[in-house]
Amino acid sequence: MSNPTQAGHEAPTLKPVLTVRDLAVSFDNRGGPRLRAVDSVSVTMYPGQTLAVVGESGCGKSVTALTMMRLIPSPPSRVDRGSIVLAGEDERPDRDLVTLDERALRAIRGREIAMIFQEPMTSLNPVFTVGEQITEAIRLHQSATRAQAREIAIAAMDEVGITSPRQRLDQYPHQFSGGMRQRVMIAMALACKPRVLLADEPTTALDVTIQAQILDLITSLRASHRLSVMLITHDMGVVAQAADVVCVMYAGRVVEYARVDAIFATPRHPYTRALLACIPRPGSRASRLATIREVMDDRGAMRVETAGGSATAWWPWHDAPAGVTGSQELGTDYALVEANPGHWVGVWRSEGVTPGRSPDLDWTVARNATRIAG
Amino acid sequence: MRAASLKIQLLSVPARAPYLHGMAPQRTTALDSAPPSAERSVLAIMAPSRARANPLTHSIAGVIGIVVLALIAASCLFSLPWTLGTVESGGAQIPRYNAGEIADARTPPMWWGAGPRRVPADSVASSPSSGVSSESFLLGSDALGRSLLIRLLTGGGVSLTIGLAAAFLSVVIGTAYGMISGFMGGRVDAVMMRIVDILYGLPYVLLVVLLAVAADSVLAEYISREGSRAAWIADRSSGLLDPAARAALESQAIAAVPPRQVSPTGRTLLDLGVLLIAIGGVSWLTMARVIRGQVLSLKQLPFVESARAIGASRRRIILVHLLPNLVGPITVYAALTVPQAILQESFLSFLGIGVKPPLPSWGNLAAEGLPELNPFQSHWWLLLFPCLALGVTLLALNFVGEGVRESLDPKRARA
Repeated sequence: MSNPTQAGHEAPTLKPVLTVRDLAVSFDNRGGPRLRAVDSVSVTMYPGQTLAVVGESGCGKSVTALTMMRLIPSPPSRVDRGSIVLAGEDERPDRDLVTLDERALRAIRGREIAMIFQEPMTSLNPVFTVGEQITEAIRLHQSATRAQAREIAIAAMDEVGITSPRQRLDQYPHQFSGGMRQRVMIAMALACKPRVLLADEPTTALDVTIQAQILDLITSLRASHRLSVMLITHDMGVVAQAADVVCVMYAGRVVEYARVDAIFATPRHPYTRALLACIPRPGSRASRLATIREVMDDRGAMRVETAGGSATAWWPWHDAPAGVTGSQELGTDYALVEANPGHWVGVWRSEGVTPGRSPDLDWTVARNATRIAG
Repeated sequence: MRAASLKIQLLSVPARAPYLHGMAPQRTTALDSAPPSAERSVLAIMAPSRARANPLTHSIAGVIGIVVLALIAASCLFSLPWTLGTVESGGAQIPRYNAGEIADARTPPMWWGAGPRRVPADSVASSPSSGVSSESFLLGSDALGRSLLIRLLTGGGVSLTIGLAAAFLSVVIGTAYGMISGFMGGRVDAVMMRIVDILYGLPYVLLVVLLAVAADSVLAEYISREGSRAAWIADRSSGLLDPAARAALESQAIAAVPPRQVSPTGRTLLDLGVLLIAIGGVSWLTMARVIRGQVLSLKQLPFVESARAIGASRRRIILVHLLPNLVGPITVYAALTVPQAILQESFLSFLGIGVKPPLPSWGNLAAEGLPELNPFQSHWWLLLFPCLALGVTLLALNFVGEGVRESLDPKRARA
């Protein structure tokens, strides 16, 4: 904990599971220019690590996750640039999900990358028992008999903390409460032992106590399965509780990428600071909270000191400062630079400000060290 | 008071229930002190699951419909082997429904005493060979002396079978069409639905007649093979032939491509198949629209996306995830399509383009009965009973359909 900058310097001890580089996704917009929902997004996911993607509604969090599974129909969507590389396991080579065909993608969905959704109330098919739905996920990817799949499903339900799974297996989704349904979704996602879990606002529809339980469950499963979790949320409380690495997004781009303690202790991008300023604090006497707009309107606060000199924090509503020549269209007006080791900030790209290495934080070692120390 | 609070305590937070009733908070639970209650209750989480309402016995009208329908269907369908069985008549084997003596023509129902018998009693006695005695004319006889009861039973069997089969066909086509259209969406959906719109716009009867005629001509060619024979000749002749050579070639052609031998029963079945296709082929439109609408809303639900997220293919999502969710509307519309199909069949038969005589159906029985109703002498039974049978069956089927709809379609449940 004493030296957060150290983590970035450590030679990566792990191989990343999923590497997203310079991803850009746009949507058809009838009669208008294509809408760029995600632009120049790079993230690196390591086993046993939770990457939280934070941002307000419409910032591209979900599109990023859905694109990582190639679940957005095309058209209207299109991957304009970038790669999503799923690391090979054993003898298999690395595969770029952007170029794979539908058949190969189906083999990956659920098997290598699983996803849980925001709405546990409607994410389960109402006409099948939960057991049938979990076993379907198993039987799609493993050559298991009905009886074997059932045993795997029972084990999975037991693992996610559903009591008397043998009885619950034959019940229908409407017989489960919201939190229990989310547990079923997690059991379904984990039944095939995937390496990556994309959790798209898994706790938004749940009340706070259940939310804490589900987050604890995801955190413990992450450790026991060496899962790489992407946790999409707009709740900084959830981030603080469950994340290792945080990726803050705005308008489809990454504005800050760092370890969770660095994000909370020394936010570098004014937008991150604004997000944090919006959180009500118990005991605070302030009668009103700062708005994002107020914070961002302070142009003086946009200066970001980086190792290579100073830069201006990227913010789409501001005019590009002098010296920025790139086009917004191509994403060349923006760069994600390492302000200090292991801490990336989105800035305007100009002379002297060039993108360095892509965000790549393996924080597992450092986290374990802090946990033991703490 | 105690009994009521006991129940509330079991179902909600125990410590708060007494407050609700204005009682002093107490540490002991109401369970300890409450006298054995007359009203039994059980912890909600331990309650056995409630049986689902049977869609068929949900409404009184539905039950009545079921009973009436079961009686009619059972008597018509179970008697088919007997009514279709052959009897000896004039040295030939003919089906029982077609057996009758001209002498027995237009006999009124046996319980209808008032009607004048056109045929003297002695002539009836002299011709007992029909196998259908005049004493058994429970519902009278027709212009050819055939028992109306037997013809009604046969006709009912034919009408019900065709109605059910055509409804099944239209449900299958409509469901498949609607699901594909709704699931594919976009341009495919637009084109498929415009086709439905066009078919909707055409007069229904015209469409059925067109389909029936088209299928009929295909069938005629299948049996006579005239087209293939002409092609056979064309293959072997170049330019003009003299009449003699042409005749020789034609006789060769008949030997090479003979007309298909189709037994009368086979021919009847083929005709019924044509009728089936004509009715089924036009009555799926509503079904397709309903199913498309359902699929459009269902495919937006997150469980479809979560099915894709576990790696299910498109076909699997349609068949395994969406279809079971459509059982409700499919059942409801199927139940309402059956009477419609039966009516269509009878209507076509009434017009003379459906079931072809001598095979009876309720429609052509009514058609035969209509001219019998005249101011001079009305043989009313020949029109009344076919219409009555048809009307009662349709009413019963509609009752059943409404009953099914009420129990499966909550939005249209009775107010």
